[in-house]
Amino acid sequence: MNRSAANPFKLSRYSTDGLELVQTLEGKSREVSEAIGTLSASSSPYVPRLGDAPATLEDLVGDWFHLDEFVGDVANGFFGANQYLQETPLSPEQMDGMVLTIDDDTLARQGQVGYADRDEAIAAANAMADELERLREEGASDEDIQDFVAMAGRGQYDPAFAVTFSERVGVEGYADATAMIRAAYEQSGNVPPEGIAAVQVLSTTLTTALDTRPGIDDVDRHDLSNRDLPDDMRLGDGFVEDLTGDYVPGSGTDYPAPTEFDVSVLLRFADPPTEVAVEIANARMTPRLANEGYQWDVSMGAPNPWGEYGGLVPNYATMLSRNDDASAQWLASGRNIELVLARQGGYDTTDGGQAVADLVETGLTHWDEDQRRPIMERAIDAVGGDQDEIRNPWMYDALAAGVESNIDLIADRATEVTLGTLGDTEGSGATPIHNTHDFLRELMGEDRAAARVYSATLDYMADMLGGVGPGDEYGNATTRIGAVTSLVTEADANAEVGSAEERAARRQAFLDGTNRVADSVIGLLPGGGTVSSLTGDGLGWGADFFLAQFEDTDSVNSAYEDVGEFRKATQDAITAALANHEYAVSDMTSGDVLGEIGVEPGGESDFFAGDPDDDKRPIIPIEEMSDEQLTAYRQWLSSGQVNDAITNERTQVGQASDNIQELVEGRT
Amino acid sequence: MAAEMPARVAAVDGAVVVDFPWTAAASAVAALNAASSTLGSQLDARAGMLGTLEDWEGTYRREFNGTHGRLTSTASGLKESLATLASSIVTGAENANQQQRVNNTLAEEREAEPAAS
Repeated sequence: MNRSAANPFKLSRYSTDGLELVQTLEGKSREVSEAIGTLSASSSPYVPRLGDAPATLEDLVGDWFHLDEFVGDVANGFFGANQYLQETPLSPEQMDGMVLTIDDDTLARQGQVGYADRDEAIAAANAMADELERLREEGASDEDIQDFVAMAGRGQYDPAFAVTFSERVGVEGYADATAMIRAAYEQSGNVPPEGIAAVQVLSTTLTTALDTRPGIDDVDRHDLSNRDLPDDMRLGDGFVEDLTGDYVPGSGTDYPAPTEFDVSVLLRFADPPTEVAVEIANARMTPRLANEGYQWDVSMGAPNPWGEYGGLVPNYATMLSRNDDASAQWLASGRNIELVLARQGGYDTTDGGQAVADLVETGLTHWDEDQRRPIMERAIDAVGGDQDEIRNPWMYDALAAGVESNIDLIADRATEVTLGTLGDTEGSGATPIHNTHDFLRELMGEDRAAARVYSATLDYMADMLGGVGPGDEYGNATTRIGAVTSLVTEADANAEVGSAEERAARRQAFLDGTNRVADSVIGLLPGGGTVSSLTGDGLGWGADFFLAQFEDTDSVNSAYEDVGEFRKATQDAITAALANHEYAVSDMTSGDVLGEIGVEPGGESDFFAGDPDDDKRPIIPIEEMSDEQLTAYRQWLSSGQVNDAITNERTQVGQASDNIQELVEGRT
Repeated sequence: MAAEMPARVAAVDGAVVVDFPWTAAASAVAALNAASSTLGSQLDARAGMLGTLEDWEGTYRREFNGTHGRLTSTASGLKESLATLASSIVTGAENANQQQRVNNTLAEEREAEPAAS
């Protein structure tokens, strides 16, 4: 096994310095080309023959750039194989004195190292294009295919190789090569892993070529140095136009010639720039999604030599969901999010709908609220509107993730209209709330999704309470807590959930979780413990916690089978959270609380932890209270002190809850 | 030494003006001189930078060396080619000036002939 040794910091420095020189030289080269171009337009007999020196200079610029990039790739290979090296604090002496040794295969893989010599890369690409021509004419065995893709082994990460090969063979050549791979293996059944690996080499080559396009945002570029490529080393517009729709393979009837399925397999493993990915999907996937009458556009059906990769829509969805921005932008364009959610069936012979669900989840959880929120709005209105159902079984998790990321939107919708201002619950003004309720109701019909929605609701409640510090006004926080909680619990009440015991178990779990939110506000007290760093499950209201409780139907209070009891208990639990919060952020002392209900500090009914002589003690978690402590605590919740302290907030919660209940129940 | 454009010989009254793109030629000579000079200094800089890579060993280093050698050789030759091209444009300009002088003389002679007769 061949090995390389080097100081990666020095390699990296060399590459950077070299590329700076290239940038200067490129400017000079451009000036020479322009000046000589102007001069050559003259018909004067005194202008000498200008020769090819300007062209040689341009070529040299490209060659130096390529070589300096090569050194940078080797440096990246060393860094990639020693991941923590760049994060480790090192003195200049340590950095200068370091020499690392790794095997060349690892170096090539980690650094995606291409050719040192651009001319060699271009020659290799032309040789591979020639070989494709030969195989097109003579046909290819599986051995031919392996030899063919091996020609791109080094070049697939090399922009000069990838651009030359791509321009030579065009999109059609890529499609032909992919179809050739399929045809070489299909005699013996599905395309085996080595056949898929061969396609992946083509996909990587395509990705590398597309990465040379101008105008790509830095965050969107795989190799940042491609930003500064000389223009003649970039992939041309014609190729991209073909890829984004101009190239149309056979309809599927001229099998085994290239079909859209082959193109989709090729692109499944590619990672194009955002804009190109969106255009590809709009041109090649959207029309299929809209074509509800035909299932063949989703799956090849039988025979399907691509096996699990034989789904056209899943393939394009996989390509998109590799890229957050592309996922969000595609879902937002046209009617794509509605089409994806409306799609019914056809996935069972491929991935069961998982890829499109992953795509939806990627879009709905995009880091930028401005991108994810409009998609979530439309998803809610699509599922909760006329459709009134979730058709893809994988979509429950995706949409639940959307609720987690967009709970603010749910809160906005839950509070944007009230019965009093609306006047008529049948009017279109209530549609957003009705759709949101129906959307949540469909989600709550599946355990895992319900657990995530409940968990997100309690996260929201805790965030809202945690955001109100000493001396702060609650503002509309309590209205939002009441409205969101009510919308979710009403959706759960109206969901199709199995037996009465199972319903009660869910409700019990939510109430227990709400109590833990109440407990968590002791974290706002000095010395009251820190809860903010814990996850939802650590706090006792995460999705996994809920799922476990959903299954525990033995220790459930059967009263919660009745929705009225559940609503009342929910209001009480929110009151406890508000009371605990008020105690935590106000001047109220433990002595004030116990004095209000006549309990002796340190006695058996004292529900505070810590030294009875302290002024501000944390309230014991509700589940850990003894019967005596719990009775006293409930007595305090009903006391005039609590009533005076949170009367407005409690009223706001109650009104928001009543409003939702009436808006939901009041419609026909 | 960088090539330098000569001053243009102006045409006298009645002389045929020699066709030569003076502005474009001056721009080209300046650009070629600058590129040649930059190439020269970059060749020196790149030779100095090689010391940074003294620890680098292995297949990729050998590939680097081969390509680096080829490009250095190309760059050295190109430095001279660019300078030569600049010189040949300057020569063209000088030739144009020379022809202009001839044309000017002819014009002056034509101007003098009617007075003599």
